[in-house]
Amino acid sequence: MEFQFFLNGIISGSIYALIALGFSIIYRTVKFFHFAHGVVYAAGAYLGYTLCISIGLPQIISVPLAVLCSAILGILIDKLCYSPLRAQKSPNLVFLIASFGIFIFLQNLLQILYGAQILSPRTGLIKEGHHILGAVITDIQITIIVVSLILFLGLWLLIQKTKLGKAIRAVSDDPVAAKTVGINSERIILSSFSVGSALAGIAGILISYETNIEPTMGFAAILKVMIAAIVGGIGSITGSLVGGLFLGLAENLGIWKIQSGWKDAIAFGILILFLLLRPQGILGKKTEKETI
Amino acid sequence: MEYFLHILIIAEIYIILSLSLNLVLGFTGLPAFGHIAFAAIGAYTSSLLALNYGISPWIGLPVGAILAAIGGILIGFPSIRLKGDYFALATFGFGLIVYSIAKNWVELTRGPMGLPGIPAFPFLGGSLDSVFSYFPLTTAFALITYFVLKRIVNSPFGRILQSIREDEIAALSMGKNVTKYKLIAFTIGAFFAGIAGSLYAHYITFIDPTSFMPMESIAIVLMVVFGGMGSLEGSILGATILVIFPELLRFVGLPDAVAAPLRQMIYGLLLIVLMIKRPQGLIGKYKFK
Amino acid sequence: MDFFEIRNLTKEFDGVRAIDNLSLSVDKGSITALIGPNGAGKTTLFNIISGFLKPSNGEVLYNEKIITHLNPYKISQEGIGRTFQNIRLFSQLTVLDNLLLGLKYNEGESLLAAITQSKKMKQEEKQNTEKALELLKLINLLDKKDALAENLSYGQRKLLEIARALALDSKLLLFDEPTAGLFPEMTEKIIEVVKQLKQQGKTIIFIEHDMKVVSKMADMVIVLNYGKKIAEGTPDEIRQNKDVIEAYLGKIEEPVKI
Repeated sequence: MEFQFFLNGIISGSIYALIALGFSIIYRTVKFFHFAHGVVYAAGAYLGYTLCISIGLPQIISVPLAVLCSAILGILIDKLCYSPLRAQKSPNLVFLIASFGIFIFLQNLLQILYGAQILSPRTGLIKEGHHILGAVITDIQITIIVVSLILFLGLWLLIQKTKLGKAIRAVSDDPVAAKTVGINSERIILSSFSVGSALAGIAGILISYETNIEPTMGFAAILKVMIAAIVGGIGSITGSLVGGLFLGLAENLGIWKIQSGWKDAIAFGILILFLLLRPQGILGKKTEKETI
Repeated sequence: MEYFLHILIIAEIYIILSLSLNLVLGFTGLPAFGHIAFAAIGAYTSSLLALNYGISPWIGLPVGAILAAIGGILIGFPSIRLKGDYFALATFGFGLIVYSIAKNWVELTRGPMGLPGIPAFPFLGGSLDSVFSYFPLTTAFALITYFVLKRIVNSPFGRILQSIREDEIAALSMGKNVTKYKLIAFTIGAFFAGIAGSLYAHYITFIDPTSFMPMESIAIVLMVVFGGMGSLEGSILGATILVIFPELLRFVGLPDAVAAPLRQMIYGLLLIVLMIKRPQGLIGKYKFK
Repeated sequence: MDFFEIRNLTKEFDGVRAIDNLSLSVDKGSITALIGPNGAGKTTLFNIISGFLKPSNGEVLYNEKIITHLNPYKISQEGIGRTFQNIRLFSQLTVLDNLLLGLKYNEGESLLAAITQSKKMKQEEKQNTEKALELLKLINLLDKKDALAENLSYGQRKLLEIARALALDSKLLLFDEPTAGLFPEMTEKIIEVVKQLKQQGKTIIFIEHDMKVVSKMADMVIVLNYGKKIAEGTPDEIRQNKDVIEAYLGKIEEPVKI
C-alpha cells in the first residue's frame, strides 16, 4: 500500500515539477512571480480538449498544436501586459498584481467559454493499469513520468549547452551586462515565456488524460507550483525537479496520516517556513545586497 | 428600495474592508494579500459565540475584532521582514491557510456546510434583521472606521507609517522602529477587517468558507488600488463603485452563470489596466516604488 | 574618552574585501573628511557605522559603547545621523513632513495619541512645527514647506536631507558627498551650515571628492583605498602625501632620460 502513495507522489510531483520548470525559466529572465502561469496550464488542457474532442483532430496533431497555442498565449501575455510594465521600470509587486489580474481574467474567460462543468478528453474504455510492487500504474501515468524526465533533460541541455541557454543565464545573472554584449533581452524574455508556457501547456494536456479539466484547476496548480519552485530554489532547473517531487511526495505521503483537505494548508505552511528561514530554497544561493 | 439598501449595506461592509486595507497597503506600503482572512476570523468568532453560547453580537463583534487583531499579530510578525512580492505571497498563503481551516476543521466551523441561522443584533426589544434596521448599523460602523482611520493617518503616527512606505531605510535612519510600526498598522487593519466580517455574518445570517476565499483578498486589493492608495476617500469611492457596478450587470439581463465570471473578468482587466496605466487609481497619492 | 572609534573592521562580499582591517578614530567636535578613489569603501563604511550592513569582523564604538550590531534605528537614537549618497527623502511627503519626521516626539507619535487626538500630541506637533520652520529658514526653504519633496530641485533636495539630519539633533553626523552636483553658492551654504554645526559641538565625518571643499571644511582627513586606511592628516599634509596622489592618479613613472 505504501508504494502506491509513493508512486502517486512521483506522478503528481512530476506534474508539479513540469509546471514549476516553466515557471522557473520565466522567473530567471523576468525576476517576478508570473502567477498567471497557472491559467496557461489550464488553457493548455482546455485547448487540447477543444482541438481533439470538439474539432476532432487526431491527437498527433491536436497535442502539439495545443502546446504551440499555450506558448503563444504566454508570449501574448508578456507582450501585452508585462512588456509595458518593464518599459516603465515598475517594481516587482506591480508585475505580481498585474499577473493576478491576468489570471483572474483568463480563468473566468475559460469559465464563460467552457462552462463550470468538468470535462475530459478521454474517449473509449479506461485501460487496466499495470501492477508493480503492489501498486497500480496506468499507461498515462507512465507517460507523465517519462515525458517529464525527457523534458527536464532537454531543458537542462538547453540551458547549459546551447547558445540560447547561455543567453538566458546571462540575462538572468546581469541584464545590463548582457545588453552590453549584444544580447537582446526582450527576445530572450520572449523565448523564456514561450518555452515556459509550452511546458505548462504540456503539463495541462498530460493531466487532462489523468484527471479531469475544470476552470479552477489553474489556481490549485499555481499555488503548489510556486511553492515547489521557491522550496526547490527559484530559477533553478534541478530545483524545480526537487521542489516538485518533494511537494508531490509530501502531499501524498502526508495525506496518508492526515485528512486530504489539509493538503493546501500543509503546502503553504511549508512555503512560509521556507520564505522565513531559507528563501533561497533547498538548492539556491544566499545573496547580500552591497549598497543601499 | 429594499434591494438598493441591501447593495449599500454590502458596499459599506466592503468600505470597511477597503479602508482598513488601505491603511496597511496604501499608507504603510505593505502589500497584504490575505486581508479577507481577518474578516473570516471576525465572522466565525461572533457567529460561533452567538450560536453555541448565546452571546450577543454586541459582545461577539468586538471579541471577533480582537481575535482578528491577534491573528494579525500572529500572521504579521513572521511575514513583516519579507520584502515586497514575498510578503504578498506569504500573506496570501496565510489567507489560504485560514480558509483551509474554515473548510477542514469541521468540528469547529461545520466546514463546507457553513453556519446557518446566525442571530441578528438585538436592539430595544427587537432585532436588526431587516435592511431598514441594518443599514444604520453598517453606516455607523463605516463612519466610525473612516473617522478613526482619518485621525490615525493625519497624526505623527500616521506620518511615520507613510515615511515607511516612502523609504524604509530613510525611516530607520530617522530612528523609527520600522518593524514595530508595520506590525501595529497590520494589526489595526486586521482589527477593522474583523469588524467587517462580523457585520457580514449577522446580516446574511449564513456564512461558509466560500465567503472568505483567498481571491476575495485580491478583490479588496483592487478596490484599494482602484480608489487610490493613500486616500481614505478613494477607498470609499473604489469599494462603492466596484460593489454597485456589477449589480448593474444584473439589469442587463445576463444569466448568472455568465454575469458572475464576467464581473471577475472585469476586475481582472481593471487590475491589469490600473497597473499599466494608472497605479495611483482614481484619487490616490501613491504609485508603488 | 574616545568619542568615536572603529577597530579592525573588515567587510567581505563573496570573497572581495570592501573594508580590510580598518581602524580609525575621530575626536569629539572635529570635522573629518573621508576621501579615496571610487570603490575605496567609504559608503560601505558609512553603511556599517549606521547599522545597515553588518561587518564580517571588528567593532564600531561610539562613546565607548559597542554599537556594531545594533539595529539602524537604535543607532540613530544613540545620536548618529546620516545622509545618503543617492539622497533618500520621503518623496511624496511635504518638505515640512520630512523635517517633522526627524524631530523628537515624546508621546505624540503613539497610536493612542493619534486616536484620541490628545493635547500632548497637539502640543508636541505645534512645538516641532516651529522648530521645523526654524530649520527651513536656516536653509532658505521656508516658502517650500508645503511642497512635495520630489518636486524640489536637486540642490534643494540635498539641503533638505541635511536639514533632516540636523533635525535629529545627532551628536555625530555622517554626510555622504554633501556637495556633490551642487552649484558653488549651494556648496558655500553647506560649508557654512557644517561650520555652524561644529560650533554647536557636533562631530562630523563627511565623504567628499572635491579637495577644495575638504580644505575649507575639514580639520582632519582620512584616506581610504581598497578598504584600507592609507593616510591620515591635515588637508595640507594629505595634499602632499605621495601614497594619496598615487592612489588617485596611479603609479607615477620616472620619465626616461635621454
